Amino acid sequence: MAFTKKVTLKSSDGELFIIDRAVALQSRTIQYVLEDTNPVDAIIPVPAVDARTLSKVLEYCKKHLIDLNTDFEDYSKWDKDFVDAEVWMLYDLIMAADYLHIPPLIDLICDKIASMFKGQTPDKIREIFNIDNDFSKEEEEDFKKKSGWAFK
Amino acid sequence: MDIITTEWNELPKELLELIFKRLQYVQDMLRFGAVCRPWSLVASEVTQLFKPGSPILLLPPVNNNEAYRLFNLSKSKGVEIQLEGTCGAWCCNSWNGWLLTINCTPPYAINFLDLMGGVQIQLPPAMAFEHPPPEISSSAPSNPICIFMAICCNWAELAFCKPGDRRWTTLECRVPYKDIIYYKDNFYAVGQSGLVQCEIGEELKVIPFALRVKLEALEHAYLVESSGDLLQVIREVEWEDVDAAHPPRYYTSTFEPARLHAVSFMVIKEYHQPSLHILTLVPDSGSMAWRYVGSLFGSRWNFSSVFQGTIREVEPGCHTIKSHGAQVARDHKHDWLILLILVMIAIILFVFIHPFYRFVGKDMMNDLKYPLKDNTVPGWAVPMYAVLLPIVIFILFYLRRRDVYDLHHSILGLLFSVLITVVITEAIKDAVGRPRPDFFWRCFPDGKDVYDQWGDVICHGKDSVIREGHKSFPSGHTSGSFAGLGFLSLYLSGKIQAFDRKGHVAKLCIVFLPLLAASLVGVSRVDDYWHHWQDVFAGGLLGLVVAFFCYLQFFPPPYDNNGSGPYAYFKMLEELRANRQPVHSVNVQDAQGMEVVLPQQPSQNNGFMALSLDHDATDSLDQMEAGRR
Repeated sequence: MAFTKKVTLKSSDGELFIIDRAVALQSRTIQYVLEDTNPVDAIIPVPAVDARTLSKVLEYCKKHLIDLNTDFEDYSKWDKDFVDAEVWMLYDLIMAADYLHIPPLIDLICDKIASMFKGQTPDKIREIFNIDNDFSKEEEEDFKKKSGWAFK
Repeated sequence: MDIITTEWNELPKELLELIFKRLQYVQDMLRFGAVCRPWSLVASEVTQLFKPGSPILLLPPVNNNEAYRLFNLSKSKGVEIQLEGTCGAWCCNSWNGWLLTINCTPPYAINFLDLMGGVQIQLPPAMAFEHPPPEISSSAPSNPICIFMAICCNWAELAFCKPGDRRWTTLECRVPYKDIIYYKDNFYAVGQSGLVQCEIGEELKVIPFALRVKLEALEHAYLVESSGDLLQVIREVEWEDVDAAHPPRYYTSTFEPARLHAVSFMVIKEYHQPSLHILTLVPDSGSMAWRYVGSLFGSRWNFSSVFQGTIREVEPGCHTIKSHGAQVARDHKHDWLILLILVMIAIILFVFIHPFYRFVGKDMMNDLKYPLKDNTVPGWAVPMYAVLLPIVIFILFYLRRRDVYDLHHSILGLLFSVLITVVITEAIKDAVGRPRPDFFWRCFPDGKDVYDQWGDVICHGKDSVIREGHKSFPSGHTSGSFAGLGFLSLYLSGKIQAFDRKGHVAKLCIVFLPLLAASLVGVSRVDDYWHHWQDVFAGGLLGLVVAFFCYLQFFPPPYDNNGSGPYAYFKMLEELRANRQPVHSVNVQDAQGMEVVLPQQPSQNNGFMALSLDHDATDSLDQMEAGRR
């Protein structure tokens, strides 16, 4: 059986990405697909991820594969720039990383999101992340009562 | 760019948890939980951690750039907390949710930080105080007319100020103070010369307060409020030389609280932090309240110490004659009964039993021809100094210590010591029947000696005198004196801790004083020609041995660490301690497992101190707070 060097991924909106097998193997999900079916020059569909997000994820995978001799400093700076994105982009990225199962990328995005919470009031967080307030007035009062100091 | 609606509130739970784990501060975590329902589920664990009512430790940061940590004692979990304006400052005290921080660099700005509302009050800087920063206490800071009192460091005198003042006002009292506390509308300060109360009125008045102490050089006094009681805790510091290159190592040997009913500390590991604060969270009007229980381990004394075990109690629940006297006597009713029987036996031996009339020949008379003399120490005097005098001393000790066990057992032991000695002495006297040195003149008052066919004396003196003349061995005066005074000597050596391994040899003078008196009595018997020296020697030995036996029945040996009181006293203390615990543990349900080992701080290899906080502290603090409002 021929050992394929290239893998083709197909995003949800139909775009094809031809990448090195080693790059694709960073995703546990794709790794399992390749091990199970071992498709020869076949196209692996990634139905949960659109092209824009997939290209970004693959950018991360390539960076973390190719430059193995890049030192840690460079990586952390690159990572920092990588996640310096819009909030909706972060959402797509973390969902994609979760679907494709790329642990280092999940960690990276979680760190980024957590840092965005620092020192923000619940109202401000809802504004940033575009979340509706689904608590009743009574529940809000209860928060204030129990640990009001945290909300001032 | 097209707008994409993202559903952050529908983020998978495991991803949310991953994000939540990365939050550093309690504030952020609690706020995270208040964003929306799915998020509040993720945050529920931490919200539980800070439920009102659970005791929390506030751990100061090891380095300046680190955060304060809140540590929940009952859950053994902790989180970091953001305290703004604490950078470069250190927390030296806290009350009711207020945190007092002092800047480490001149002019030592003093900040009062409200943990609940984030309000800051600037106090006049501590420039005048010199480093290290002073002890500061305050009346309820939320009160608009609050007053801050501090111990200035140059003379350790008291100073006060109100918020908005530009400088501290010093009080005219040049007594070095060690600690200060606000307790029930007054300030209390403790110093080398004792405890004073500072009345807050039109002007501040400093008046001496009842609880007076004299501190020794290596003793430190602290004031702690607990369960509505004002505790004065004396920390005794000892030191030992490590080697010539290093300075001596100081460690705390004992804590002695003047009233111990509520808090018991159990410190099980080393702790190097300059301060440690115990805070409790209790439901309060619309906010989390932080209650200050005590900062025994602040602020000026940066000590590293290992202490183990519970605190020695100075004033246990007093057991006096009134409260427990009848009970103790009842417990020992059989001993008292036997004592009565011993008295009767002694009387029988003395009055009814005829002594053995030992053979006394003519050639033995050389040693028995000493003149008849009166007793230098009359017989009735022996019970006076051998029984009544020690009892008076026991009573004096009782008046000071209020310990009925000590009084009862010392008296019982003494009486037994004397009576057993008397019975043994009388029995031997009657059995041996040795003639006294003045036997010749007792037997032949006119000086004409008559002997029978075997050479034995045929006395024509008074019967009772002759009978008394056959009671030489051993000396009753001496054995009684040694039994009584020897017991007293043992008792005193226990009470003054004569064998505390500190080499205060002068204490032995007190220990030997009763023995000297007893010896002189013995010598007087020889001088009066009532006894041979062997009689006195044997009597003294007998009395001493019996005294030892009787003393050790009730008291630990004088060289024991607990030598200062009877076994029953220490047993009572232990029972007191054991009984106290279950009462407390029912008060707060989630306060079980209060003794915790705090997690190791990663940056330094310091150990931590774990504290056992008394459980009903929160309750009574609540009451206290309610009373203040």
